[in-house]
Amino acid sequence: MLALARDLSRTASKLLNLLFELCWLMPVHVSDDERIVRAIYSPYHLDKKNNLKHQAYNPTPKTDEISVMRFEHMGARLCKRKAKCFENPAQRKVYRGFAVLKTSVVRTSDMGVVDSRRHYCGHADIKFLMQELQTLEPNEPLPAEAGKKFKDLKDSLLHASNYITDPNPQHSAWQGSKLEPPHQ
Amino acid sequence: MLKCNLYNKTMSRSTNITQFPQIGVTTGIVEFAKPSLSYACLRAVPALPVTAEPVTAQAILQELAKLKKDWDGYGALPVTPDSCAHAQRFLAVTPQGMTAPEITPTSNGTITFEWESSEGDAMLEIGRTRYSGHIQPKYGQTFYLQGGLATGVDQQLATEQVLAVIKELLYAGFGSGSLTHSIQITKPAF
Repeated sequence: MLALARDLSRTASKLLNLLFELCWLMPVHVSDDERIVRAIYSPYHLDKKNNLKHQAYNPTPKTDEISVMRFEHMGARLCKRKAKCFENPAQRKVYRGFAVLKTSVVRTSDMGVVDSRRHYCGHADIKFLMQELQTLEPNEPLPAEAGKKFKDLKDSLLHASNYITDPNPQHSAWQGSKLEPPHQ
Repeated sequence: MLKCNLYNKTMSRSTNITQFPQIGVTTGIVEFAKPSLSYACLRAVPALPVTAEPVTAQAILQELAKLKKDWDGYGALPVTPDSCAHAQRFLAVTPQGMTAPEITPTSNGTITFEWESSEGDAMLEIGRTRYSGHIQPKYGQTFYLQGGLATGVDQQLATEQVLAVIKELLYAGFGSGSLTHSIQITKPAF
């Protein structure tokens, strides 16, 4: 019964967000069972064999955060619309699909997931919880040991991701396979 | 056969380089020393140009140099000309027997080089005035690398010695197989 109520609430939240970009029914807390998706762009997120690279999880400079979308409250169509907004063909940044993760898995890998609706309704951040990233000098690398820790965290995100290519990136609707995280 | 001087936070000793992967160093930072006698040995090893792959790698670097601010849509910094020049130096002295690295820009405006072989993997992040990275052999502990790139001497040391260590640990099955360089492990500089 509780699960049914939660599903109904999420469906209503999704519709409200899709139609009016309103967050009224969206809880601020990101639940452990929520799916979060990261928009993937070529060429820098993918290798030559079209596999996801750890660079797909590089944070915004001066932060330890990477942007993701709350799938349960946005749905595939709205996620794709937002992902396409951030395309930048002039800089060769082309939308390719989504990496899907489960919030609980991210949290068990010593990272945080927080709502950040100030960007837009449904936006969330994965937080690496590394102070070094926030104080990192521009255009300089992390110290070696911090760099290895950071790479390990990104690798654990890679391991927890299911990358799903969009078979029809030009279409407004999502026509690919179901956006599900990998089976753990 | 040359000797390798290894120091870390808890010990100070000399050991033969052929034992390098088995050394019980868990937190050591590989930081390359100023020119010395042993460095002269390294300089004696010709830096043979590698074939087709680095040409492509140079082309990638030229593309990275053109990236503008916010190239990733999330506020990424552009790659500085200094970082590109350092990266080109690393490519130019890549020893024979090493594959060309996978080259990627980071959102902080640095350039990463990554190598993977059956022996393990290595990553090097090149910034405006310094580099850092690590080598993770398939079996054994992680080796950390870091140092400056601000002066010409630093740059020459870094490019040649870092690549020689990576080659030795990841591509030992190729080429002569004998290590002809010296490294020094000290406390981190930053």
